Amino acid sequence: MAVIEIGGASQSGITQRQRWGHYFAVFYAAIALLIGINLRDSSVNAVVAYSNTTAGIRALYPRGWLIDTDGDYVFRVRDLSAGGYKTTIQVAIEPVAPTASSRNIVDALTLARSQRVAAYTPLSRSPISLSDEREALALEYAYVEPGDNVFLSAIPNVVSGLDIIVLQRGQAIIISFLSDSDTYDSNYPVFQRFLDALVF
Amino acid sequence: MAVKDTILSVPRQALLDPIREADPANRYRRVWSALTVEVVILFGAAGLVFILVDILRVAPPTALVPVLSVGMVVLPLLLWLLLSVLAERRAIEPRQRLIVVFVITALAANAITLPFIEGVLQPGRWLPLEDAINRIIGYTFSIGIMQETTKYLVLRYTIWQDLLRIRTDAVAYSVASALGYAFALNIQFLIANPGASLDVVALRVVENVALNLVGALFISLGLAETRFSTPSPFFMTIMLALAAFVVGTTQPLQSGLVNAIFSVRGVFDRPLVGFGFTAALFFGVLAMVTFLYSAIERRERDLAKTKDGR
Repeated sequence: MAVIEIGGASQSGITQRQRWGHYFAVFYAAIALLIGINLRDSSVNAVVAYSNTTAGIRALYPRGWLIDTDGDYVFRVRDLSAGGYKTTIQVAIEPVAPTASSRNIVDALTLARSQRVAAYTPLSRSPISLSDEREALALEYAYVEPGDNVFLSAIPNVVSGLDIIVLQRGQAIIISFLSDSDTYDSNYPVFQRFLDALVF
Repeated sequence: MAVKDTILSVPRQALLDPIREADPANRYRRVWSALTVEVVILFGAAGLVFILVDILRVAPPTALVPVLSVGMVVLPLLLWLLLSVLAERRAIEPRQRLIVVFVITALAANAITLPFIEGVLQPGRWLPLEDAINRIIGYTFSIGIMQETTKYLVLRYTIWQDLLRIRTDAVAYSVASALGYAFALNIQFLIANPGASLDVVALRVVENVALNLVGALFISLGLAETRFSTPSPFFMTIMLALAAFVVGTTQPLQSGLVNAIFSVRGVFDRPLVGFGFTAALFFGVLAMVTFLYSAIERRERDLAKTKDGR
């Protein structure tokens, strides 16, 4: 690109060529920064598709999380790069009686967990609407996770959990989000995106 | 005869030498030699710390480690003050705003750039998991561009253009800016890692200082050319992009070289490889930029001679 300098230096002593040189540099920096933010967003929000035709579930879970389908759940994904407790999203399906209500499911979950984990404490339960207008029940709770290695001198992790319970076709679909209580708020948007994209 | 006697009788001390204008090259402090000496001493000090702590296993008293770590962080600043800022006082035409540039860059880095990188761009959250090419691109467009744009903007709005009297003014002020940014980085590292061992602090200080100086040399070339020549209007942009790219490329390479390797014989860390890489990068870029500066100046002298000949 050729810039024709008409009149040479201005009153401030800067030539047109120098002025444009600085404008281009600042413009490039702004564009490069936007590219950086875009790269970050596309990497942080990148997802992997999961589909289970038997259970009738399709989901998009965060890229880089470890998927596990071997437990008493449909699938579970964990962020193994997280410090402390590994952030977990889990989808489970439990058969229920036609007359059962969400409250019965909550009571059953509370009983089972109080025997399985330390200091299990239900915090709140509230009815919510999912993005597709379906009614669900949200159950918030916390418990203490001692860690995998009993010989390691470390303070146990306090885990905050959230269950979204939906009753449909004689089944309770339990979508759980578990995170270290220190990072719960910062991790919650990941679960929110997962929930919005979940088809069941 | 009487007149001759009178002249001879004038005391010798009363005769003044004719006023001679100083050689333009000697009116300003020499930048390249001072920069080289500062960095060589810094590398030497870090190497000495590494040999003592990591190889000879000399363990300084625990209470003394934080003091020595702070000393290591302050060392580049002290060297610069002694060898550059104080030396300016002996120059006929000293550079006035070196400390101003240093302070403003350190404050801008600490208050704006580093919080923005950590809070918004968050490279530590997504880049370590990416492949090599994506890491280079990611670091270029996050840490690289923020770091070099900060230095460029500080220089643009503090010294442009009256304080750029000769080309090496751009180098001197860019070095001040780079040291300011590196100082903020080093202080943050020290605050975030109060228990870091002395050799780790020394290597990190050298790495931060050298990498910032490398970027600043490209920025200085862009500023000097824009000020004294008539390059393409994109020249400053290209230098800014190049500086960001070098920073972006170096980040993953350096961590890859320094990180421990796994093998059948165990796990081995390789801090010296990273140290050598930093030294090679800095002195390679320094040699290249010095060559470019001298080639440009030689070309201008030849052009001036040609014009005078006509």
